[in-house]
Amino acid sequence: MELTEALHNNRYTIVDKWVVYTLATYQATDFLNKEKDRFANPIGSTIRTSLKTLFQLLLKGGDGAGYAEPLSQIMHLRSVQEFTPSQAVAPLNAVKHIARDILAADKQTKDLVKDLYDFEFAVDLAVLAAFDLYMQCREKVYRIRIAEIKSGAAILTDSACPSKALKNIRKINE
Amino acid sequence: MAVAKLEQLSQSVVQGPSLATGAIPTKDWMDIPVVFKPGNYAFPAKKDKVEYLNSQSGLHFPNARDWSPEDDDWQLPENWKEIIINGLRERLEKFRSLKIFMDCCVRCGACADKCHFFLGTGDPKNMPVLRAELLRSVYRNDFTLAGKVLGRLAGAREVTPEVIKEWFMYSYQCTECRRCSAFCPYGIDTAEVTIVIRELLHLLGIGINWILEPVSNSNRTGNHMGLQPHTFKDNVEFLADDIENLTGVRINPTFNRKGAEVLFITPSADVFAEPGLYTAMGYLILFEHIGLDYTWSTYASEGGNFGLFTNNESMKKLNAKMYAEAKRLGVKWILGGECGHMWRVVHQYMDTMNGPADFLEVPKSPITGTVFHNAASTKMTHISEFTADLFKHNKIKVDKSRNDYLNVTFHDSCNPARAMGLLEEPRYVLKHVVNNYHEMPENTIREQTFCCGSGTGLNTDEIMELRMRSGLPRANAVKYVEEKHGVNMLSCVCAIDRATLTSLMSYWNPNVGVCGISELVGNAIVLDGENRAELDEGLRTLL
Amino acid sequence: MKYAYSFLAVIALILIAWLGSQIPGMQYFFGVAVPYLAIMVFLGGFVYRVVYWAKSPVPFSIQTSCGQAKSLDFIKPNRLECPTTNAEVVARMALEVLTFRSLFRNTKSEIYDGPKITYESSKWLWLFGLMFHYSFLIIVIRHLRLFLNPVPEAIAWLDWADSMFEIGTPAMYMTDAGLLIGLLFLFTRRLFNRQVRFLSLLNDYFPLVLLFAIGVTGVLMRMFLRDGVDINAIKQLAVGLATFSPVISTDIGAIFYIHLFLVCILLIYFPFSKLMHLAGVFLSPTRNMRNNSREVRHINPWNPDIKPHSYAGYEDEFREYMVEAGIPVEKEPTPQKDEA
Repeated sequence: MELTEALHNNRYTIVDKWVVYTLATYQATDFLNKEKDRFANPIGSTIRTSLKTLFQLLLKGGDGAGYAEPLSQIMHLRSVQEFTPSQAVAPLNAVKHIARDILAADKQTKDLVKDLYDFEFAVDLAVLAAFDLYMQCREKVYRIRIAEIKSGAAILTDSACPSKALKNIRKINE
Repeated sequence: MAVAKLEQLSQSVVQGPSLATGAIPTKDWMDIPVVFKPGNYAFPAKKDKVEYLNSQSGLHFPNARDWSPEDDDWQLPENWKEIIINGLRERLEKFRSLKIFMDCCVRCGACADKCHFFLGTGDPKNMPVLRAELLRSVYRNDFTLAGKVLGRLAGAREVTPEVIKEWFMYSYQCTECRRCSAFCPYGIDTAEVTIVIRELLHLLGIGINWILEPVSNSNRTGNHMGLQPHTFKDNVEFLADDIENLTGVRINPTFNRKGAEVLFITPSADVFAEPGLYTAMGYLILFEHIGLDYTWSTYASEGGNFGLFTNNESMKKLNAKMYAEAKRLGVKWILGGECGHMWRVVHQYMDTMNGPADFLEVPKSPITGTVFHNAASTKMTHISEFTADLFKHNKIKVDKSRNDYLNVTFHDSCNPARAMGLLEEPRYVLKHVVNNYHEMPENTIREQTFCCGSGTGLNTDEIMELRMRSGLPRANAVKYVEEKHGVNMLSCVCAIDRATLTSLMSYWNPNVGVCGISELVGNAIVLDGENRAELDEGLRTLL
Repeated sequence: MKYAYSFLAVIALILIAWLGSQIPGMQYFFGVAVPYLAIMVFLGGFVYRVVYWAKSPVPFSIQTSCGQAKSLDFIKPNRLECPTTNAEVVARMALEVLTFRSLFRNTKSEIYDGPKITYESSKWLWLFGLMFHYSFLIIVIRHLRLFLNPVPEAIAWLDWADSMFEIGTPAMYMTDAGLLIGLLFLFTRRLFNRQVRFLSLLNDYFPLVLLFAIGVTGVLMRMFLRDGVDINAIKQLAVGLATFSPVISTDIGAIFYIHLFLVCILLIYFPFSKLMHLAGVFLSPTRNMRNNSREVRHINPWNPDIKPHSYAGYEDEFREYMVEAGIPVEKEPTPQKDEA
């Protein structure tokens, strides 16, 4: 059996484990795993859909051109969720180990483990792309901050009036 | 072997006491401490603001001090425990809702996954039931027999500085949107619990600047923005200038004019910040078009009421200006602009707090003659009700195609939806001014609408990440209609929404803009004597 | 651990009743004294709690509107979800209490990703919750036949209807099954749904275990341990209790005392626990108020006297600016004095 075929045959198991692993980085893992309605569970469904797409792309290999789309979904989420950069990206790496475990566990596919190099390289590319996207998202958050400040919303807390009034009150009291 | 690697991977990244991340909690929730770090809390109120508010008659904001949530010692006043317990007792005696909500929860968990903060953060303490348990556990300890006898076994715990910190963290991760209340079999409303926790925290001098400063501003200058009368007037006139540039029609709004028929009050953000400005232009165009005899007020120049986010006393004090000004100017009734929490206050609190407004008349549209019986006592009508009635009677001349550059969906703002029942009026108006309209999925609109994630004074930039994740459920639904129907404009009837959804969209769905309903109305209206060029982006077109 | 404590507590209670009722003379204690005490605590506690709630006013009109409000003539209001009249409030409340409307609200969209196995998982809570509560209600009503002589026709009919499928001898009550299945679901959900387990307290497990034990002892008595139970003696005792002239017969088996004792514990526990949601739901302001707060003024009995920052004070501060900007003022500015 070919490696690609073996991975393809095991795609449901692998992606499932991958999703479970990724969602395990949240406290409410159980809910995120179970609730299938994409509107009632945006985190869970985004992770699931994106990893599924990403896995198909990883199997194709190549230069990793299409990775950005599904990765962007995941990184948009994880870059605003109190993860450190490494925590945010780490679950992507997990698919290497998951694939290896699954192939090694089956006699028929055990020998294919040594051929995983290309697949793992594809994962590496995805992880690198994810770092870029993580940073893009972070920068975007800061740009939005600046935009808000520029739009004048900050006047809410930067105007001087109450403290000025307070000074007047103090003057009266003195 | 490989399994070990996977475990190593988890261990190497799962470090630190972060709340939204890390290991699955195996501990009891009472044993998980809160950790404040930059980005997960809003800045505390400046000392002088708290002092100023405390100096105002009728308000009580004691224990002003400089402090930071990241400090170990929050410098609580010496008798803080007594203050909290007495404060809680007083509120139990004042609010039946609090007693019922403390006693009746069966922890069925129906509310748990309804909260946008929970859905966006995955933090179990953001489940509404648990947020309420933060207070309930203290209530049990000091006010129930079971709690006194069984203690922690009965879910009771003593109030400690750690509990206070937890209260601060989670009462400022709740936007009082009431979505949980719609799903609770006993109607338990977490907003009420959050309101009480925030009131209690204010007794200890704990509050956030983004709320208390606007409250101070509003008290003194009449609006949250702190715009002084001449600046307020200037801003509105700038908008009139813009309208003249765009349409060739000069509009001359009046201010503090006695004898006008209608007093118009809208959130001050509408006359100051984008994209609210365009909504305000919409109001001006609409009133000009129908020839409404109305006035703005600089004294009551704020529709919103951040007092709602502090305590009921400051809510009352700020709100009282509306009637005071209506009485001084001798208007017949008040027309209110598009705003969410403003309308919660107007609909559910204003008359009770500051009524009866017997010096006003029951609102009657001077254009159609329709009497707004639903506002018979409060004497204040929502702009969407007013506009819908105008459309019903064909009093507005519109060219719908002017909005054809847009594909619109409508975000029900929490308060008009769940504290007022204003669901169809905005849709009725939209139907008359746009051709391309698509609803978001059913479980994300109307009474089940998702909050923008930044309500109740949480629209400050230092917690941007928190806002982005709590707004995810809303953004996610917008994404769906964007992908499916090509929606590019998210309309709403709330000033906070207009400001914060703009940020939310630019993060999650950068191709979708945000607007008020009245902007779309204003853009579609065909003014008498207008000389309008092709405006590719409606009222937002730069000439 | 919390659920384990609940089991321990209920087992202890069972042992107390079982062993206690074997001691000669203690039958009177378990058959008469405890039930009277329990009823008194229940009634007293229930009334106390409701009065405690009612003593606090409802200062603000805080209904949760879950549908279109009544506004303009041409916009159809949703009378059940957003009531404006008392009758509509009653209807809304009835829908809530009789059909658990809010729990049912989880309308899901059509788009699903992945298998549909967990489809509308939250509806299960509604279904089993409803099943448990209705079964419990019918069981309570059915039990009145023990206290009333002669048995009213309605109750006899209910009894017949409940066992109409005639499974087993004597015929099994459907509601017994409904009660136990409902409780089993609610308990396992609490245990296995991690989210719910995380927030569950001892006070959540205990009533479930207690009710389950009551159900099981009831079923045992009727279906399996009939020989040891003299139904006539029970009826005699029940009627006696109801007419304040209790008679204890020695023929009543231990299982009956266990059943009765657990029921008494439930009654005593009731007013001090979350079970008071039975009464609380009717008093919940978000559900029992009319959404007419702009039409009719709601009164707050402790409305504090707070005045706004006055217009006069405002004008005094900004008068010059206002005059300069052409905004009308009440008082013309006084000419500047150069006294200083």
